Amino acid sequence: MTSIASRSFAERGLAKPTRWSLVKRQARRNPTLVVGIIMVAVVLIIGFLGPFVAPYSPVKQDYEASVQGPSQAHWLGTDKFGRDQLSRILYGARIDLGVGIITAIVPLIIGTVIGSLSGYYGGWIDTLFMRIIEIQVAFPFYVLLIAIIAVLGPGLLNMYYALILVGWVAFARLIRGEVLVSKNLEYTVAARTLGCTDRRIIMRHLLPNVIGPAVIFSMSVVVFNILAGAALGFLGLGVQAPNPEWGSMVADAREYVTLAWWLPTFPGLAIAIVGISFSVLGDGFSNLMRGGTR
Amino acid sequence: MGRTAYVVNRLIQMIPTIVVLAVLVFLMIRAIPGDPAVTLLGVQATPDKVAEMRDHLGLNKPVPVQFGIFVKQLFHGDLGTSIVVQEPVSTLVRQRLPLTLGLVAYAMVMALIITIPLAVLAALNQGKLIDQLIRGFTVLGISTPSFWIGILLLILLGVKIPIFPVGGSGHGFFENLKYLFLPALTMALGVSAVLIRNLRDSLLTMLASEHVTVARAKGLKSQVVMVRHVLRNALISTITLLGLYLGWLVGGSVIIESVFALPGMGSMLISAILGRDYQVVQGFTLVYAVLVLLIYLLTDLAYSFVDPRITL
Repeated sequence: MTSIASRSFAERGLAKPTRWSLVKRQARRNPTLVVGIIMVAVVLIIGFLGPFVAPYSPVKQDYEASVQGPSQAHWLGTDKFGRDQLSRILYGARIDLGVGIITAIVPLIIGTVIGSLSGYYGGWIDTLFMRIIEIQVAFPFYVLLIAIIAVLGPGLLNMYYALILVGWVAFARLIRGEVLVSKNLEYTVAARTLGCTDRRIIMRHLLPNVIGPAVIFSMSVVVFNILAGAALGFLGLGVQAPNPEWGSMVADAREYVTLAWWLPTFPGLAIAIVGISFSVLGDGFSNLMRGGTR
Repeated sequence: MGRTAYVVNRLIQMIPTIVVLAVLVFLMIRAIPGDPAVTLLGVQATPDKVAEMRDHLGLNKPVPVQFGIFVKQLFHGDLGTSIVVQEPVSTLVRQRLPLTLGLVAYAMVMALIITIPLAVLAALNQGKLIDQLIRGFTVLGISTPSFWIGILLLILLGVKIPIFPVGGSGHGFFENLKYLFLPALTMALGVSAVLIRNLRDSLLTMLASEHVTVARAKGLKSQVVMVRHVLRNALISTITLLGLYLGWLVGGSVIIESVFALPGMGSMLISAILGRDYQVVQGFTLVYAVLVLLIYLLTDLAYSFVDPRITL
């Protein structure tokens, strides 16, 4: 195979493209993806290194330095307890990023399993899951999320449970739809004719072909859940004080909106930057799938 | 099928869903870990008080009997009584639902007012600077938390340049147009980001389609082609999306009402959770869910008016 490929390049008097040149070509065609990868990488590195580079403790109070604007000592100012806002944002990155990423990956896995079983086998499994999904869709997203937290009680862990419980549905629907189409395509029929087991057909033939859209969709779920986690923190239903979480930092800043613009502005900006990074990455991936930009 | 038959059919189909919703909402209080009566009253409550609360909630009876009572009360429009404000939940719903509905409707109208011109502008200038800027706006709108945008708008247009009130609601329609402007705008910005992307894409598809080329070849004015042949067709998929996002707007109103201290259902739901007023949480959750079911039904009906090709 490789000899055929390399001969055709040689015949045309071209050098065989190296892996790097393929990457460069892809990057030129899809700059959104490159920008997205770089942005997400930077965000993840900051999230990982945050606690090591933070100049102060995120919870140490210093009443002499309370509600101070950005300065040399406190780049992003201090809150009402005199806590350094930059340090709180850096520590908070782990919480907010963790919420966004974990509550996208776990529902992706659960939704993929349920969606593929439901789509492949049909019958009562499909009916059961479709009814559950139908009922869940009747609740507005935030109301369902808040109702679950009302039962479990506010807190970070319960927020994870709530987001996962709400999140798998969209993935299950997506995968089910794709499986319904693909299970009758020739390659699946061929695999079945060859005597492959159902498990092998699903794992080796169907999933690799249908998971793409779900993975791309998971990028928007990361953004969505970071916003949802921050919103719950903002409402006092998520991460509890004194832990630094961006949404609850914005909420705490509400009483100071007229006096201290930096208090609501910077944590919100942090959420927005992370959100934008994952959005751009998601757009880049979907361009890749569509084979071009538009 | 005629419209009336369709509506009746859909309403009948909604019954099983509403039954399951009622069961779920009924189980909410019972699913609270530990003794719900103790959770409601706090750990310092005396045993007498706890027993009284258990009696009040009917927790001493067998669960099926409790459910029977719950359903019977529902049929009488009785959603229980708030423990904190000592008023029937149905009264609270009646007081607060109009504002929530008004806010959602206001946000929806505003979202369309923002979406249509921006999407048209982006599609007509595909790839140019203005298109890039509008697409940048949509990325921002999707990735930025609405409660933060709300606070920034509040600082900018409520405090620094005091054009709009910083919170609360007014009396009457016109006063509320002013009071709810910033909350509705906040909600509309988020939704219009999604709608602009969708409408821009369908506009581009329409602009490249044959019937538009024919319309141009006939010598129609470009405005006529745009409005009658491109926009009208492209809007159909956007309205579908808007229907889906209406449900989302209802949920989003919970957060925005809290940001702007609006006396709607959402802000009360949050304070009810924090104050462990579970009767209110239960009742409001059910009302929200039924509301969304009705909204989806109305959206499906709306298609048939917009697009005569769709038969119900």
